[in-house]
Amino acid sequence: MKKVIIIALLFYFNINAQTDRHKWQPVNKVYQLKQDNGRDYSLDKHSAGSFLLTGIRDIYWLTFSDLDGDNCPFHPTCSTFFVKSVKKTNIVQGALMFADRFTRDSNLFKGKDHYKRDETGKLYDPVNNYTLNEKQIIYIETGSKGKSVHEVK
Amino acid sequence: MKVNTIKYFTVFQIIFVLLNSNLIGQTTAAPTNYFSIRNRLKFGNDLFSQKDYLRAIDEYQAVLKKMRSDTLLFKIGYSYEQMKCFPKANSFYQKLLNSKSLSEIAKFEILKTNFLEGNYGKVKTLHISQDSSDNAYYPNEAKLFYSTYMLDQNELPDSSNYKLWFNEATQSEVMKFYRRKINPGYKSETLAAVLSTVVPGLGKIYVGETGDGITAFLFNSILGFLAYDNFRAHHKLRAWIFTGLTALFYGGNIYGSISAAQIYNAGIRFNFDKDFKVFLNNHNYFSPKYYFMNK
Amino acid sequence: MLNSIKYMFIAIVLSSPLRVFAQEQIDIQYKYADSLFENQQLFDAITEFKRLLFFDKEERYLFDANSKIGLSYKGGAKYNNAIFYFKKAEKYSHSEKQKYQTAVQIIRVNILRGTTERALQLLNSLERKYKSPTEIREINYWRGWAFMFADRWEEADSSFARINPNHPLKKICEEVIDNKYSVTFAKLISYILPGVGQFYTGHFVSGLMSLSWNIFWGYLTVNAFMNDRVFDGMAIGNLLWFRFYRGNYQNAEKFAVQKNISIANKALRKVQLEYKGVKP
Repeated sequence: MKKVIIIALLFYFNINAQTDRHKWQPVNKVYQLKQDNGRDYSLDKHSAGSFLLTGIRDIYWLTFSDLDGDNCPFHPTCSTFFVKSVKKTNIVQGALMFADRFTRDSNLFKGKDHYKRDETGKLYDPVNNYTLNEKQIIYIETGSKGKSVHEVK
Repeated sequence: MKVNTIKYFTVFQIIFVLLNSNLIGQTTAAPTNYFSIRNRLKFGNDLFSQKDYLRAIDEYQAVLKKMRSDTLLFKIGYSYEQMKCFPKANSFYQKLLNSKSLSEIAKFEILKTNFLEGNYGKVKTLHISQDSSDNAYYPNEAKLFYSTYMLDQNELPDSSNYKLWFNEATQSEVMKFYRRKINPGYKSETLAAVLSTVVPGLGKIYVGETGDGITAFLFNSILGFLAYDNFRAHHKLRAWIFTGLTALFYGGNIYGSISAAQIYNAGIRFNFDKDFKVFLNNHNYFSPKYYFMNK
Repeated sequence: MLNSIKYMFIAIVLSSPLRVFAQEQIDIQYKYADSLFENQQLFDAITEFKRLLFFDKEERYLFDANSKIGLSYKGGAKYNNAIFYFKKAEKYSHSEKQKYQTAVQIIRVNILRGTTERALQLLNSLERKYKSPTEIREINYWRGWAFMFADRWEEADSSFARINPNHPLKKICEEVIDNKYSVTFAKLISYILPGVGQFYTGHFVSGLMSLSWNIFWGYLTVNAFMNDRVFDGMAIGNLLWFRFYRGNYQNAEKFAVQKNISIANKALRKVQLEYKGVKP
């Protein structure tokens, strides 16, 4: 209870706190509604491997994934997760990470309530948490709403 | 008698007013009276109390150009600290190390800004280099010093140290944290890996991800069965594809159990750190009360 | 006794230049702060207005300085702070007109901030209080803006129409309404024949591919049932045909929504760049 009050108080002070933490400049507000940027189909030309990988991903997206509806509850989606994990680690570890992600994605038995939902309602499940490098784990508090993501160092 | 006093008072007032207006007559050329040192200081203090720290700093800096004031240096440091600009705050506290009245408190604040920034190693070296006799805030510093061990991965000092430095009110809470730090209830990554190697998914169940564990078990057994079934039926190609998939998901299951254990442990550390920081915040990081700032 | 009163009177008369001078100084400070504001040095302008408020013992500038601080924060897109200071200004307003003006400012900030629901709420309560023709016109004007920012163009259109049937903003609203795609229609026709909704929004390749997948999986499903392979039929039908059928109408809906946002954004860009009237 005490903790709740403190968090509520912190939140309250946050609202009323002066935001002038730096000398800001005038801002020209652009009158635009928020638009979903959609997928990034760009090919990665840094190496032959990643070029091939992003190419295969694009073909999968264009012919299959874009047409069979919104099925993946995660953010990033499984295909993006795979590409990112391979880029971050290597093809073998990336494949293992993908197999694990695919298993978790197919989990029908228990609610996925230990993931945090992002703004669009997707379950936030970053690649960083699965590289077996403890320092990179971004631990996400569930049960609390909002965008804050806490990093454990 | 009474009338007389009023009379004298009024005469005095007239003289005063005349003198004053004379003075003003001279200063009309420079109308920026609000920018005198005194007024800037007053205005700066007002901004400071409104927590408009950046603007307060500007006023104080202008005052400091004309005169030296340790209190103002401290308040600038304090403002930066409130804005979470810890290195800047630190640099202002450093300037006070030779101050007569504020050097001890500056030393404590240097320690505290390092603590808030997460430089726990620096806090330790700073504290160890100090002598208990030459600092009135040694007990406050000691509390922060021992708190660093709660938040980093170094070996915890003996509990008697905590009993010594934390007073009655905070002692029981600190001891609770101490026990939690010693027995955090981590899940073993190795055990998770071994369990998942023996029975696919068991490691995940051990970590608490029951649903994921059952799914991993089903995936492995179905794929394994399909591989076996196709070998038996002499569908070589299909059999090898399923064998490959089984291997992938079997490996993925072991891998996933390890990472699930890691995430579980990260969660424990996260919650511990969060609770401990709430505790520190409740006690204002054991700072002394700075009455001189309100002058 | 009488004498002393005389002396006092003289004292007061003599001290009046002092007061006049203090007033002048306050005025100079206000002009200084205001010049910073005019030069778009908003952060410094706020500092100087705050300094003015601090030394303004007679509280003559309580309204002006607070509303100028609000305007400065608005210019820096710090909308929460802006509203905080406008509310302060509202509290210290000297006349009903000033009160009305700050209330309108708060509404404009809400429109810019994107909290259009709040803006509309405030407009409704303002309408109950202020009934003069110019005020009603202005309230409808900002209501139109709030509806535009809320992507509710029909209501924006009718709000502007209440001011003037030939209002330039009404024209833009009409354009948007004409150009927008019907999301329900797109979805509905894709229910009936996969891919058609995508054609409607101009996504021909996607529509064609959706149609092909649906024909392909549909054929396999039907074929399986025809050959009495019930399990295969159910598996393909459920896992693949249905998946692509659902993906098809989801896409039709998604494309229509995306197109509509693009149309709205195009109109908003036009309003921002070409419209000459007062903007929030």
